[in-house]
Amino acid sequence: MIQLNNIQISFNKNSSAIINALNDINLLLHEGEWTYVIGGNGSGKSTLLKLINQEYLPDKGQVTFNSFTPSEVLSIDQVTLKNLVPSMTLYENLIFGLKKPGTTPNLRFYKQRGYRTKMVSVLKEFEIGLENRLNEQVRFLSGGEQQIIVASRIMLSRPKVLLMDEFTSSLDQKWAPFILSKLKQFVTLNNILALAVTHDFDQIQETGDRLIMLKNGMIKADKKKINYDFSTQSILKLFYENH
Amino acid sequence: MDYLGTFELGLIFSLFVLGMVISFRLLSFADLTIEGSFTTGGAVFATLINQGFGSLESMFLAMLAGGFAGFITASLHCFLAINKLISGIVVLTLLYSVNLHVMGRSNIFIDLPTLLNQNIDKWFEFSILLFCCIIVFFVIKLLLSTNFGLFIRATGENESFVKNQKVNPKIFILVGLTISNALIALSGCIFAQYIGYSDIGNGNGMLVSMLTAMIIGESIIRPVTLNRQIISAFFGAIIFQYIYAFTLEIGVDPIDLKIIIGVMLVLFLAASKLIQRGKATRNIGSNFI
Repeated sequence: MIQLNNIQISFNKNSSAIINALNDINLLLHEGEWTYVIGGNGSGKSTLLKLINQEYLPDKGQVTFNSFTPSEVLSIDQVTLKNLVPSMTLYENLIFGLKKPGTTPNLRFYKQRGYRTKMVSVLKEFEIGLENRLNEQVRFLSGGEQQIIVASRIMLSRPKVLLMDEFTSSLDQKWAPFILSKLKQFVTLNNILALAVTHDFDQIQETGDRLIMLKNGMIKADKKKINYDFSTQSILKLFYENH
Repeated sequence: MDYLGTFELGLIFSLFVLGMVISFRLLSFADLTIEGSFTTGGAVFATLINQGFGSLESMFLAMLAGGFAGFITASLHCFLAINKLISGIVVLTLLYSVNLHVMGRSNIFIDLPTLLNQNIDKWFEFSILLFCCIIVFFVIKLLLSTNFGLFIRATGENESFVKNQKVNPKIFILVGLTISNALIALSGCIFAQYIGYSDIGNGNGMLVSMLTAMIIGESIIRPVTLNRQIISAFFGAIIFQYIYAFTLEIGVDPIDLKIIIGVMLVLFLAASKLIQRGKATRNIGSNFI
């Protein structure tokens, strides 16, 4: 569980054009729950993710992690190639998923049969044959294939908290739901706390359990799937009512 | 042309190029310290051996001194946020005075016998050098094949990715530059043994020469895998040394050698860029040169 109490983050503090990126945020996020954050540009969505990833510290308030440490948080960037090392092979990129986050890498050889077996079993779940291309450089994969490598890395690293900033924004209507459905299964099965920023409301209907709407750094709506209609029309209505 | 002697010099400089591959290619760090740490290697070795230290001890301490210079450059960049080029230039400049202090004057002869300055059989000397080079190359290959080595490469290409792994990329810059400069100091101290003296000007122009060697090696053996990147350093240095010896053989005035090396570097760089134009590179290292 992550608890945010009275969080405030401001930018340009020493100038007259002060920006309150997050303002009096109180939030309780739970394991096994996929929460989507929506809102207009500059509403504080990415700041919220960076706060939980400890890239930003709050000016006021407190972030409390229960039952896990900040090193067990995995953050996925909007730009696919920022989540990969392009000149490295699929195998070498996936090695990073097998390392315990926050620990300094050891002097063990990274080419080990056990590692390969784990990678193959994860890649096979996506059923597109990437398990046979482990020695290819990732920069020569298509955008969708690269996202599958990122998703596979997430699955191998088994984080306790998964943060995704417009993870599938560069993908078409075939790849985005496919990758998200696999990740959704993984999140539910492993009881992971997932928090994702999106502008694609169809995704929310498919995979979301909870929806938070931000405006000017404040929470305007907090809805759960069990008691709210998560259809695209309903979310669009909510968005424009609070925008 | 002394083919064996040229090969031997190629072997000595292959350690320099290997060090450069770590900083320039894998860490994406244009480290100018290397000209200074090459001289430091020779200076520390010559001073220590003349004071009665053993050959291996002196070589080890020379490597340590070079590694420390690399560590200082990395520290300036990592902890004081000084630009990579400036950090290297600052340490290179400092090393000039340090090397003079170490030697006490601008050059010193190696009076006592070392592994390479005795009257031994030429082929035996060659075998020692080849054996040493193979061991060093193998150790670096092993290091880069570990999880730690993988992070060194990742730091050079995508530092924010490493940060996102909740690991501080500064560790890899510090260790990488230390290893790189230690290798270059080793090359410097073997070179000093080979020629029998250490001179404050030993490192002058080495950066451009070895950069040319690295580019020649990469033009012949495309560094599309880690193994090929390492092997390209080895052959690049040897081929460069033969080209160098050949220019002297055909009667080029030694004072024009720096011009020839400079032109050679430009030609090889331009040729490799022209060949690569419009094609996606498959090289593993940083492409900023």
